[in-house]
Amino acid sequence: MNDWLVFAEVYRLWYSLPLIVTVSLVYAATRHEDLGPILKHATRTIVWILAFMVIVFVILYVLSERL
Amino acid sequence: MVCIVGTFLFGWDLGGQKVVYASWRSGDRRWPYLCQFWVGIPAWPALVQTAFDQPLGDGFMRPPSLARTGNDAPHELDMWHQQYHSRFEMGTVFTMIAGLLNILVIFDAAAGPVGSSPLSSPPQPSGKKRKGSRGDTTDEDAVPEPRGPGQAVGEDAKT
Repeated sequence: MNDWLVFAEVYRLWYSLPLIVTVSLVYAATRHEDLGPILKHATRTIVWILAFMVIVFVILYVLSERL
Repeated sequence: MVCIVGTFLFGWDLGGQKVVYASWRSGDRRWPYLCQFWVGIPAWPALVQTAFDQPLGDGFMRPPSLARTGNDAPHELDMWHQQYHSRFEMGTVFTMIAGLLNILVIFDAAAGPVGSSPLSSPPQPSGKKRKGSRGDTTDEDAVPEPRGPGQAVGEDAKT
């Protein structure tokens, strides 16, 4: 039952999506001038950030399972 | 600008429009405002509110009162945290990130995109225009480098 309570808190993760998109777009806009390269760079940055978050999640999940 | 101001306003509203204030009192040092400040004019009314003892207007961006009615009674900042709980922190984070992103934009406006070719780079000997992200130059702008006594035209590219 307690495992299900974890998913009740997951909705807060949705707050990270606009942040990730905004950070990626602004960072890409400081590296390029044209729209095409900006969108490509931003997409790549979004994937990197999400991948990093998943890696951290897996590490924390594994650590918490062993406690 | 849309991204940064949008993030700032979203965070500001998420925290009940109370997360942006400047305070340096003991017990309430508002470190996040050091990041929020860089958003610019949208965050600067907090500085004006701090300069006066009584809040101006309807208390827009004013710091909370730390006065307690009793020994165990919560002060206003405690009430804000109780009322908005996690959204207060989330709004603070949003507004802080908006300010930090604006520092990036300030650097971009001042010095151009990171990694672009500097304007003082040596001219290329070919007849084509040199393309850069900013500050495109033409052959008229190029200043030829002095050549050695036995150096022929076109050897610049090899050396």
